[in-house]
Amino acid sequence: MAAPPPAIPDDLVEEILLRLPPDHPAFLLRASIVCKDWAGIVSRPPFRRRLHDLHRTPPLLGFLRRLHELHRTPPVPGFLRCLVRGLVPHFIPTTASSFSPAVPDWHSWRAQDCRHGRALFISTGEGTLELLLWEPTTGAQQRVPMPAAFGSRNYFPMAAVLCAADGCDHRDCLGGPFRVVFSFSDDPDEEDFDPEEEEEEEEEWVRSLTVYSSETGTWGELTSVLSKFQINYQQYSSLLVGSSLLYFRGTPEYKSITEYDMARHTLTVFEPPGDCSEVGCNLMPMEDGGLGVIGGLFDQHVKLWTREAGDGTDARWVLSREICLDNLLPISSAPSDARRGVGRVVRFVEGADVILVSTDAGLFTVELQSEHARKVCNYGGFDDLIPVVGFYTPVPRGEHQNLLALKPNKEAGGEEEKTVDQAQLLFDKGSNAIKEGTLSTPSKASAMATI
Amino acid sequence: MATREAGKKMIMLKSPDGMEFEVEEAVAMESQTIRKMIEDDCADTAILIPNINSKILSRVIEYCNKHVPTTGATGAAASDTVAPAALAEDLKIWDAEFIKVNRATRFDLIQAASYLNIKGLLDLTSQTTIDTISDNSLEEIRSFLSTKNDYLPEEEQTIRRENQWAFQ
Repeated sequence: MAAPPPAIPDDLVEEILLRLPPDHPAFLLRASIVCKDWAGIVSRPPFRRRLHDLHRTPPLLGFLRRLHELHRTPPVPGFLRCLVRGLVPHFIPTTASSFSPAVPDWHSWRAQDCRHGRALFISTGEGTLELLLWEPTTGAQQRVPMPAAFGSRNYFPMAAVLCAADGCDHRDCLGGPFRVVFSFSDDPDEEDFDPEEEEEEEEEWVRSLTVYSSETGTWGELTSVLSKFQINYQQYSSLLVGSSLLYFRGTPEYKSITEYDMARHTLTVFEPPGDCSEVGCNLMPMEDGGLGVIGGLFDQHVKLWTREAGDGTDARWVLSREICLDNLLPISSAPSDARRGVGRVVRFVEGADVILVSTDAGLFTVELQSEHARKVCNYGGFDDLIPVVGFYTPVPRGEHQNLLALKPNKEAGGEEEKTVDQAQLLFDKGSNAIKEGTLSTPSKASAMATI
Repeated sequence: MATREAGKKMIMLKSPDGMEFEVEEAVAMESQTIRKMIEDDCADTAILIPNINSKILSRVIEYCNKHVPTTGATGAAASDTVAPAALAEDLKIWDAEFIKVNRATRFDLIQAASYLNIKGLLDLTSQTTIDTISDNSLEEIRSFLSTKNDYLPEEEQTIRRENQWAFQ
């Protein structure tokens, strides 16, 4: 018999492990258990940096669900809401081998945003409100107090999280300084506040915003804007363009986009393209550093508008591209069912540079340059998804504990993906009922219930 | 000294065991390490490639020769006459033959590809090991790669328990 084969020289292990497909987070985790040397290699920050260099675009690891729809007012009875919440996973993995991080307990925390490897949650329930930063790939958590300016007469909070390191390329900034951008509405003081009225001509909306710095542990000065556009978004998503422009958009029925200029600490509210409310209104960054809006139903062309800079408020929207998805996705030409949330552009996935399209056949990512489409989930009807994007690398041994002690998390992920199919029917039924009952502007009471 | 032959710029690569290889500059520049030396004007004389013996270096040159973007004597790209897909298929078959080497040679090739920074060769030579890690149990990976498990059983159990998703 031949002599035992030689072991791989240490200096080559890194070269090889870098080449494990990033779409299979389980491979790197398993490699880290081969021996301690290997664990050391894959958990060092330079390894993450090299993964970026080699593979360029990080994978979409999955989605966090905000679950707004389950917190609206009836017709779904309370016991059914609990059942649905329990069955529908709060993290939906989209990688080839399932990545299932231990998501903060859904009883206590509701996902709001995810960026630069950090997810942001807001607490639920009756007690003191709090924010929670959570890194999906390391499991690290840190609590953040609510801004003092957010009182009982403020509503519709929106929050975004981002890395705060100067000039960072976000390749190995986990555990580093971060910012939380928090915005809310003042109490509309009109006595005749009428949720059925979408936009009254004279009505003006006050939106305020403040920024938390993890380095100082404090919230900064408040900035506010008075707007004629309704900005009390029931559901929202955020987009960072460049390093200092943060945008929030509500669902299409809210005809406004909120811009926060971090460098100037100013808020601006402007309208999305006129006809995007019919086809969706999803923010995406343009190559020239500007803002775009993309929307479309699958039986139509997807439309992309770009915002042509003008003098301040004079910027205007220009329809710049139409993309036909017919040949990319396995979808019929049957009329789309937008009310069920199926058959539309759901959002742009920041970091992975793809758009997310929901169809009857499932959720697809579409890379706009190459027009390459990939199915990431068998079910297309999920609403309000928060993408988690990044390279997975195992945590160094001994660092599995949270930055701050939290109560034991018995709802940790791991088995949830198995319940997707079981939950689908129930969820569909529940969310359809909810949507049919709540297409009008939500009431103040239900707005409070979302936080 | 770099020389010219049939209109092509040539360059000399030397292995530590004294062998010399005259190759086209374009072929040598498949290596990002050599490319940088040439572009930085550090390659006037023959380039000594440390730590890579002549047997491995000749195989690396063979790989680069095959993978350099080809242009005919007339300057017309080969892809003008051969469909890119067919060309890629041909390269794939060639690669599969090229990598039929024993494990020691493969690791030497990985080391050479790493030092010389030849991405395609690194991808190719790493693939068998990647497949092993991807498709086998931990015990099989350790056995196949002759790697010693230095985790205590309870340490390994803890990691497995904390990351059940990776073992489903």
